[in-house]
Amino acid sequence: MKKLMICLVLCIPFLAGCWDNLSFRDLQVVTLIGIEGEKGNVTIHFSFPSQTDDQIEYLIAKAQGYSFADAKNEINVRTSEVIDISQLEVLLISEETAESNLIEYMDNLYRTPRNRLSSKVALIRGDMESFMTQTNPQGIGKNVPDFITHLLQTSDDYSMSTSHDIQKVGTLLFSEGKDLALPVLQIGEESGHPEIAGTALFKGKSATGTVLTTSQSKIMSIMEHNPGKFLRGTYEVEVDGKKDLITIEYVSGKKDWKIEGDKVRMSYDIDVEIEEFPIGPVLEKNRIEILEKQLSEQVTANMQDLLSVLQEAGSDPLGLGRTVRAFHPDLWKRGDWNETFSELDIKADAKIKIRRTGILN
Amino acid sequence: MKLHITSLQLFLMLFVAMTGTVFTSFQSQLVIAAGRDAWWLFLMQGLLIFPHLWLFNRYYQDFKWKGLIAFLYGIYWFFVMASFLGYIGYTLNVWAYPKTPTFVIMLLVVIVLFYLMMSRSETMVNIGVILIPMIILFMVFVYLGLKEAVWTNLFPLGETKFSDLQKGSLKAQMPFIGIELFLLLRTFVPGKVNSRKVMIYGGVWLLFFLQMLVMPLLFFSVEEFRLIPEPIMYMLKSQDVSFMERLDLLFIYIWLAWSFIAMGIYAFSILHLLPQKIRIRRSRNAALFCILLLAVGTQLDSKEAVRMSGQFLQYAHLVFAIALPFLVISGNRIFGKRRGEESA
Amino acid sequence: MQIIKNEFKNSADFVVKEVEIAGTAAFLCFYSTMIDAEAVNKQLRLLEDRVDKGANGWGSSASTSAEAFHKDKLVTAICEGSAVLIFPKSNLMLEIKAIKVPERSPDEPVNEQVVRGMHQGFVENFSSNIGLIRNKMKRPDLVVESFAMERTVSKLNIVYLADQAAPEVVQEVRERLSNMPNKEFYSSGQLEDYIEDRILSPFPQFLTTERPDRVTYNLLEGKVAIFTDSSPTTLLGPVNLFSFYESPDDYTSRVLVGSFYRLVRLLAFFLAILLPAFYISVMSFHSEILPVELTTQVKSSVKDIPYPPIFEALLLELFIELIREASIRLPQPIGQTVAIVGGIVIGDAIVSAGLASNQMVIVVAMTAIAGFVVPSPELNMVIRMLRFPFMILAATFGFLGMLIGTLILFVHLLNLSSLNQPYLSPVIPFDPTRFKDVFFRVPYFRPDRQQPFFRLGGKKAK
Repeated sequence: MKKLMICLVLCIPFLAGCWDNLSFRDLQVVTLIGIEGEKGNVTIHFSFPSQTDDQIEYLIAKAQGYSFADAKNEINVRTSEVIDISQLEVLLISEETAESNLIEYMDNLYRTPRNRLSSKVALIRGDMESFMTQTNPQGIGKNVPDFITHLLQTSDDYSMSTSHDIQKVGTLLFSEGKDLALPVLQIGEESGHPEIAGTALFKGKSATGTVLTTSQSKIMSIMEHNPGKFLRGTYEVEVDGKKDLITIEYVSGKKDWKIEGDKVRMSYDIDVEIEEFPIGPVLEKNRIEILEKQLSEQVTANMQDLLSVLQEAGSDPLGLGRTVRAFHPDLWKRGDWNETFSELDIKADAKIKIRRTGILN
Repeated sequence: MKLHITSLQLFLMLFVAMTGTVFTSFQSQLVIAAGRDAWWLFLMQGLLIFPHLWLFNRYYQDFKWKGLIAFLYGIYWFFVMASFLGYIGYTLNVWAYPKTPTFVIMLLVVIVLFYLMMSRSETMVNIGVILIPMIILFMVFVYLGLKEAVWTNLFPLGETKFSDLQKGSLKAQMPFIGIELFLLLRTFVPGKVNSRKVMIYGGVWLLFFLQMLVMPLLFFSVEEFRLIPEPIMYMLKSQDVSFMERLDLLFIYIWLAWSFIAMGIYAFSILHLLPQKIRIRRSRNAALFCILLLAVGTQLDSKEAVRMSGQFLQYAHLVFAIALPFLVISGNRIFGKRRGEESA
Repeated sequence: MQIIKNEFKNSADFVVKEVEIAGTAAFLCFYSTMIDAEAVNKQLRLLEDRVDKGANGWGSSASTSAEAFHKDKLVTAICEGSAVLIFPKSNLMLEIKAIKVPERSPDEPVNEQVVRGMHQGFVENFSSNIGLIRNKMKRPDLVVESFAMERTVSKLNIVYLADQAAPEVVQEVRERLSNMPNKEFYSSGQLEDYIEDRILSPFPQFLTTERPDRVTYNLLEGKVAIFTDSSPTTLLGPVNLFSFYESPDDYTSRVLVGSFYRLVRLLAFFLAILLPAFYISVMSFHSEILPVELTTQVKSSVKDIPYPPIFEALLLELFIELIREASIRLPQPIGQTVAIVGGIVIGDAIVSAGLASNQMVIVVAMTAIAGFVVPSPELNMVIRMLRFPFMILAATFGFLGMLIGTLILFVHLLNLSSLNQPYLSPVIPFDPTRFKDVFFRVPYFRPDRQQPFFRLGGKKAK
């Protein structure tokens, strides 16, 4: 009898279990979210796959609310199954929205443990709807979120832009010494589907509105010392009085930042490989030197341009602030780092060395 | 029958009991209190474990587990267990089971604990072994975060105010909780324990906690720690591994198993403090103990209670791990000597 | 004469004959069904010769022995299948061992086949069995001890290597066998019940085998083998969980191959217990851990299933169990047909009927196969049974339930012992010298350094 009682007591949790049972059958997995609007009037677009007769269709729902979470809850009015954003692949935020405090939209994603933190984040330019529905399904297939994920990944591999997941965005938004830079997407005029437009700079927790071009992004990745798998650039050089184009690929590099008072000297030693050089082999030593000199000048000029853009925007995506904070407290304590950064006297200097000519001998 | 364990088993039990529940949560509090200085503050404090354990190992025989002392420690360990239980309930509620009543989660934990208490002593001594592969796996995945780490996050040093450092050093006591178990467990090891072994153990312990502190510090920005109470779990969550999402979910269960076993070791210690005659009716007493634990544990499952009990533990730890052993040991040595002289 | 007949309840096959041996009247009694008449006749003739010659100790030879008449001894001898010659005058009896019972040849047992190595198996007769072992292991320290039982003359025998087996283990077996209530039993399974440490544990605490090479190998590790007189199945103990995962194949195949398959088998242990539970908890609690690329696929296949995953799984598991049970009972050719019909036809139909999802079929099939990998049939059944509680736990609490289950399982395994030796022995308590043996088949080129399996290194705690 006593044993029976014990057994019964032990069985209670099993009878009453399943409180948190959330059957996968009843979930509507959202893979793409777009946020636009401003605080107090947020519109969220959801895109989710739906199976109908062995076909996967991507459906779209839209909801408005006072905040991100409010709009997210609002959407359940419209969908047959529970909306689940734990499988989110891409989070799109319109450029205008990003100019206010980004954390306001990210907090919910960041806080709820069920959510995925490794989803990609990108800004978009233009109409959100056109990103959600694909008007030209032949071009990229129906799976838009998948396409965007891979697009972002590829652009990161080729150092065209940055690629951050939600976790990294959170870290960078809170980080004092480094500012966030997110890729910007736009609908390509010719292709009619999303393309990389550039890299948006952030200052503190909101976007500055300044967008770097893809070639500036490449220079930025060199200066940040964090290039993607491939980094290629084309420059015009003059050899033996003839002008021609040369394409080089980044092989390896070293950065050296010297900070003295207000002056920052950034010097880079970069090893490159020649990808394309129609003039012919680059065998002779003096010819290599000529090329190296011209390339170094051009890259230095590019860096200087980029620095002035960054300083004007007051955004430090290079992470200079981290070094300053760690080793130069007097400079760091001068005030808000973004302000200090704009006022600094920063000079960059690149030394290009041709390591490989691309042909064996 | 007197229980004999080897020194290796002693250290394994001690390690599990000391790391158990706290290793995911102590970082946040420490970093919030001491900022970037947390890591060296902890390093300095952690070095204290060497003399601490050495003294314990030297004078453990002078610490008599009798009467009031045993009772006090029993109560203290019971409270440690209850607060662990509360913390487990709270964490699971937040992290994975928001709708399940905390009571049910705790009941499950207590059922396992009851079964553990009913087992042979050898089981309790050895069960830590199943954690070893899990710990290794855990470390490997934590180290996957290294590629995102930012080294400059460790600097600059010495920015924190002295009062904050003081607060921080109190928080840095958390990982030490349980060190007094050494005094009890040591009595089961026959013969001498080499002080070199004690030092190695201290080193392993220090290394473990130091990397548990430094890794999140490298990974997150200091301001972020306010948002994330379990930085290690967040780190794992953001790892992108191809075979599954949400590594943290897997690891929260490793952590759970870890905590279960740590609690088991505390329970084991309490059982051994009980006088012989109570120990006889084992199943009834274990059941009573578990019910009591459940009753106290369910009171401690809100955010506020978790914080309060954590704070209480920090102070209680100072009393029970440092002050009381010191008093008892020195008292016993002085009186013991005098008595020895009288009889001689 | 009638007295003797009464002792054997006038059984029809019991024969008592009055004969005259060298001028002396005697009774010859035997079970006609158990003796070899020809051999008895031969012995009788030899006996007469020897009496005629007046040889000293005429009654003793390799197959005969003479002693004073005693009724109990008479019964024992006759029940064992000897013919007994009784000399009423001199009050002597002479036992002639000429047993003839049908015996099959030592074929390889069907349920334990190996690819390479010895193809022999035990038969139903102890003396033939021990002969097989002695033939393999020609050493003098191979000891046989017999234990008598009530109401039957058949005996229990334990066999061990005196130099290898730990004395305390042998003593423990002796004690348990002698303390056993001396009832009669027919299968080694019944015997197991008497001498096990814990009867209610699902895990077997003895290894059973019908293969002489397996017994030999285990004897060399210091285990004790228990033979019953009437069954080809041998019990080997003390064992640990990992003994069940060793197959004689490991030691006849190459080192690397053997190690690889041993690791695969250990992996199969966890797979067989946890895989369905894992799938159920993912489907009903933690769908967020699915990789993004998989979700749409999985979603489209589970979308239209009307039942919760636990019922899907139980349905399919029930199917597998039925198929298995049916194909064992049926003769082999039909059994295969059933397996094919069950496996392929029903498996496919159940998916298209919308009762279960494709994934579930894969999971259940994989689990079933993983369960069959275990070389030992007893453990195999345990594992298949254990997955059900795990599935239920997973369906109520997801991963937490699985964790609770795993911990309880581990605590149980730690509590368990076989002949007072810990069940998870080389791993917990940790014994580094034997540890590698569990996961790898270590090269066998130094047989002189045979590792006694259950001799715990002195300083290890119990």
